[in-house]
Amino acid sequence: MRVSVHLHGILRDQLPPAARGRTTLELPDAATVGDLLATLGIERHVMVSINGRTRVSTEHILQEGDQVMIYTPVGGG
Amino acid sequence: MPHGYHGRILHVDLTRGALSIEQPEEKFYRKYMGGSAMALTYLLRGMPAGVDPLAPENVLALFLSVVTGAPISGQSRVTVAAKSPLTGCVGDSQAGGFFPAEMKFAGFDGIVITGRASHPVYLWLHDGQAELRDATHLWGRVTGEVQEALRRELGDDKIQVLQVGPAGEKGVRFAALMNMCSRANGRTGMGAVMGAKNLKAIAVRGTQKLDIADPAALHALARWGAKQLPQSDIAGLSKYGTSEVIGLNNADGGLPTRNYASGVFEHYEALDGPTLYETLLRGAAQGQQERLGRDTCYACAVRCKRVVEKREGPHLLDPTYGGPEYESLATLGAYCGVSDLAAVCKANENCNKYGLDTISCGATIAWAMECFENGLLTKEDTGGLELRFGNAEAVVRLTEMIGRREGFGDLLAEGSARAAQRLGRGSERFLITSKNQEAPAHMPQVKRTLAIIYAANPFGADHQSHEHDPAYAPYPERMAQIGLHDPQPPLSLNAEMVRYALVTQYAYSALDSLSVCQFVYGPAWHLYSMNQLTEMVRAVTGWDVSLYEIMEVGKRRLNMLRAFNAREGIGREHDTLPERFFTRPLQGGPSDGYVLDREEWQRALDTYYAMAGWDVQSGTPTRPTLEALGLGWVADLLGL
Repeated sequence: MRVSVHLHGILRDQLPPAARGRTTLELPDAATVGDLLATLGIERHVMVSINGRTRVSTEHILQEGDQVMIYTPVGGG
Repeated sequence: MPHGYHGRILHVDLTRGALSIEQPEEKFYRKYMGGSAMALTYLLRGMPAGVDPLAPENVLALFLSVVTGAPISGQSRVTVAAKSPLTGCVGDSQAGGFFPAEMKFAGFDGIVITGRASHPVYLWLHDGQAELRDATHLWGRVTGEVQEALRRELGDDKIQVLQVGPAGEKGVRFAALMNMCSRANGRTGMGAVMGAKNLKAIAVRGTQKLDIADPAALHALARWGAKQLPQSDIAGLSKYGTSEVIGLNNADGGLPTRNYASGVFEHYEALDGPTLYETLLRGAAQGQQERLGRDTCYACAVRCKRVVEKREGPHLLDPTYGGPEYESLATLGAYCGVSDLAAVCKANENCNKYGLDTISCGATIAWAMECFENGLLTKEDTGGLELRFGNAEAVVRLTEMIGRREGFGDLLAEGSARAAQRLGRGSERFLITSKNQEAPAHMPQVKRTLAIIYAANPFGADHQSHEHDPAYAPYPERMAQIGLHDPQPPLSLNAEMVRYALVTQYAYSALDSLSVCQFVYGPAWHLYSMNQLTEMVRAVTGWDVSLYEIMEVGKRRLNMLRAFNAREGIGREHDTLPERFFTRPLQGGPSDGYVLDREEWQRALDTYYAMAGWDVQSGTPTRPTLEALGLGWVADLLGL
């Protein structure tokens, strides 16, 4: 199944600069958010939203066409 | 022989033009450590209740800590405290840069300023010496000019200058103190207090090296941090600065947009960290922004500060004035519906030039925009400005007009709450303030414990006073160090989340008393944990400090803040939130429909006061609570 991913901030460095943090990934059916993070090589603490729903856990099973946002929990500024 | 600090506090009576040195005992430093906690002892002892914040009787206290100036990341910060002309409550603000370390090297741990000079003066501190000098020739001039003039006059370009800009001179209620022309003690209007005293600047230069108790241990800790940085959770902060939080908060549905109407801004990407990095950081055009477009504070490896440059119009940008932080991008950008990054950077530059808190400034403009959009202000009121959301030029123009108190800027210079009072016409309903201080760009509707902190924080709505909700779950090891083991589901405001708010508020109060950077040290995503902070304090001071002791300093500080307000008759009835947080659901994005529940919030406040050991009706700390912190003298001052 295919999911589209938007990485924010420093997480963009997981992809080539021209991608501007955006990519589409082909994943096995019933892949979880955890599997997605592993595929992207993301080991930091991150927050995940899927289709605009925030605070999704790493056990959550992805669906075809999901729009995933991945960002870090840094506060302040 | 103390390690890390001098045991010298400068007292300045501007009315008499008199300077004196106090030399407190070690136990005073051990108990309060510095920064906010130490400053508050002088505010509490140095003036009665009822002082006009702009009167000579207001005590203006500037404090470093026992670790300021140590060769490790994140220690060069200064607290400025006084009674606030914006809130009428205690005022408290921190800033970084090179000024704090240099002030320590100049031989002073703190400065307590009272009175008012008969004409503009500046304070010159150098290698243990202090003198007041005439500043008549500097009055009215912007920060960049003044810094340059002082360095030439005193003959040393390594001099660091902390100053008020024209905004502070003219009593703009949210005027800031600026150091390096780019680092701001921004919130609560401390710049107006200093300006009202006719004190234009404090120039410092010193060669007195700090005596570190265990240099090898400190060096090991410093090296660990620098090595850890690229894979740490603040690697993004290092590369993009806080500007990356634009994208993070927007993804989370928590970027306040159009005066807090929504948590998402459709043009957020135009203001985001990577966009700033690629377009306006100095050196971006040559791919040299990593080296030329970032700056740092004394001894800090993180380099989170931005430096922007633009040599062609519109909106020329001078690197002297640094670059925007997240809050500045949010308040001068998203709050106003503005997506023109160069304009936002120009507005930020104006704030640094005139010496204005970007948060209160942008938020006050946003309030005025909503008034205009709803017909409560006309072009006649605004001097011809079409003050609609999205008007970037109006934001740039207004930052200048506010800084100079010109035209419509004179009304806005009062802050949105007083401006609403003067304007009337029902404009109060658009206010987003707590204790008359404008809310920063982290939304209580999304991160619920902010609903407690914004309301109950003694110096008004503040985003750097505790750890935000999303950090509880991902950092079990670091949270356990301060006794937190039970993260709750998102949007909870139950007893455990109230406890989380209070305990992390103690931790952040400790950080502000040790006067360290809250990005480098803290209980979650920070470079160093609270345990490592303890190691750092041990290495610098030679004291056998524990984290328990450090948290007690934080508790002490919070209780002193609360006590100051109680003495002014400010209590629970002032712990409020904007009405629309309860009545106007956010629109669009992940936080669509989010609104606070008033009863839940009131119950949370009840729990908060009780957990803190404060009277639940009045919010005043009880005598036993104060005595348990060695603050019996504060209970005496309050007549408890």
